[in-house]
Amino acid sequence: MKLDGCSLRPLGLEDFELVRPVLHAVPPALFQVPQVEAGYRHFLGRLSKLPWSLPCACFADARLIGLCFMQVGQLRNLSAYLVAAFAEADEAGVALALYVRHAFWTYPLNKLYTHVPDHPASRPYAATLTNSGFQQEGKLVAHVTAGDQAHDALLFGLLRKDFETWSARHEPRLLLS
Amino acid sequence: MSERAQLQGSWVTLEPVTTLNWPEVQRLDQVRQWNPNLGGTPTRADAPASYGPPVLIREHSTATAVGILENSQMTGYPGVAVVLIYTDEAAARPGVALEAFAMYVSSVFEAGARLVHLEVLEFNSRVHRIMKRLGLTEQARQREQAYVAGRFWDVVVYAFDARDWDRILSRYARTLPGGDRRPAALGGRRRTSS
Repeated sequence: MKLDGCSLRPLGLEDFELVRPVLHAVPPALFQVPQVEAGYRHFLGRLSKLPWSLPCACFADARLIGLCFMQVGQLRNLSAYLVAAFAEADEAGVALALYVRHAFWTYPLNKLYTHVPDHPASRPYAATLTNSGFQQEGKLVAHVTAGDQAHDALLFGLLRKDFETWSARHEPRLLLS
Repeated sequence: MSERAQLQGSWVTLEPVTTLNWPEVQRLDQVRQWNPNLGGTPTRADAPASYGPPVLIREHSTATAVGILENSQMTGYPGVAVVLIYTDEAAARPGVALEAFAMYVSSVFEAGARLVHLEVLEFNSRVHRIMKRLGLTEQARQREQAYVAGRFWDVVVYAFDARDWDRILSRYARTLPGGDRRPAALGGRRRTSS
């Protein structure tokens, strides 16, 4: 899948060296993937066996800029937790929209949702989500701990119909219907 | 609560789910499946949980099992306990769920939880009224988060820490079992015949 120089492809077990710089760059408060090869392979191996996980590497001009995957709690809810880990949140917009479109196109999902710690390092990620059509649905007060401090977690959700509305307004090439 | 100890209240006993009461758990779960709700039965009779085992709510007056309480650690949030309660409204007297819930939440905090996190379907106005009376406000409304009874529903999130819980308990101590006021279901107008 490609759009304006951004592309996606399935994330593979052999991609560790490729994704390592991204894993280093993502704020640990936001997301942590094992940063040694054996741990990465174990993590991805398990993830790939889960339903609808759709792990993908995201590229901009052939340069890896991030990775995305999903976790589904109960299939009947047709909602998936989105993990979108990008080295630079500012350049993630198109790739994120592409992945979201790929997720809704591939599976009968009704909703994608994600949590972002309300922390200075993760605010650009929150902005990228809202710029991609996600709506803030509230915050979980003091749910996140970092050292002795507790932070809130911001909840973001994107319904399939939200994405269609967002696409029609911002990027009609991503429309599903 | 220790791993397999009972909790004794004025109206109910909370019994850890074991192979002995497993048939009653399954019976309640069959009732639950015909009613719109979140959650499910423990996966097995000796299922472990982060902050104490799942329990059966047994009402003293009838010796009947009327509900289930369980907890799990919220994925990605160490120290946050998600508590689920189900009561068979056809079998449970008003107030029974409240006493069971109060005892269980206290035990979850005693077992080391930092926060208790509750998720309530949007149409469950009875529980929303209870939350309001307890002074809890919704922290999030997750749109169309759950598919229940034929359609998607919003899920409302409440959460509180041990200090909030102490404040709530002290405010309602007279109304809770053992207090000097007649038992009543918070959030409802019905009163039990004592």
